[in-house]
Amino acid sequence: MLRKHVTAMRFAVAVYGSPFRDQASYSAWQFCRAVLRSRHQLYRVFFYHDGVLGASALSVLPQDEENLAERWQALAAECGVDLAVCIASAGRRGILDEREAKRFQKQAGNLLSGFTISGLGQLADAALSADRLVTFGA
Amino acid sequence: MPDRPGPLLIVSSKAPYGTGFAQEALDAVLAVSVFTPVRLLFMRDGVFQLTPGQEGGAAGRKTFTRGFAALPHYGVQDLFVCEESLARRGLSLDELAVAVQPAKSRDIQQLLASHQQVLSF
Repeated sequence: MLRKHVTAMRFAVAVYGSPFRDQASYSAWQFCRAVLRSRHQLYRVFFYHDGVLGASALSVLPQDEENLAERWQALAAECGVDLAVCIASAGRRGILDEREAKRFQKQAGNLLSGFTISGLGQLADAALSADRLVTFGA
Repeated sequence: MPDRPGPLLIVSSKAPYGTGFAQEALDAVLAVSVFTPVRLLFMRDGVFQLTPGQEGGAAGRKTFTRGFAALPHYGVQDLFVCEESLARRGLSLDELAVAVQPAKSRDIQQLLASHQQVLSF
């Protein structure tokens, strides 16, 4: 438990690591959960680079494996966490929302609900607006 | 976003083509520079991004390092390179394709300490 005199801080989190290759994404989720359970605030989670792979609705996992995407979705649903996914990183890696899918004439969007396609401006905003930006998977 | 954000330091420390990090670091530099002044520090294998005669095509990749020439147009003037990283890789400042200021480890400590926000790639 945090002691009372600890100043509440506003954190932002950047996730670069692939959810399947790196521990980074899971560590990021654990960190976010810890922030939300404390008296601190979570300003935004920004998914960049391979971190965006965790936002695909087309991932199929064996039943006995951890479903990190569902955990992120639960954080978004329960705590209103802003899960921002970089549009350029996501497009390269085949992750599109319905709007982008239409724009590029692809069959369908595959962005998980709870996540939002966004731009690098949101990373800049997160870095500048939060007291601390914590990066996972650099 | 604060009204007058301070400069943001971006640290690029990966080789140019082994991973996509270096290219997406440059994307981040260009995008973030629209919102706030950006300073850029190359260290570790990131210094290889500065070497001349790059042909990303040989690795099936865009030669994104040509984008460094555009940095002044984005107002990104302060580029630094870790001297020790260069020396360890047998590179010298005067053979680099991009004009960068040399930084000793003491300077790097100061850079890191004096920026409220640091993005590392």
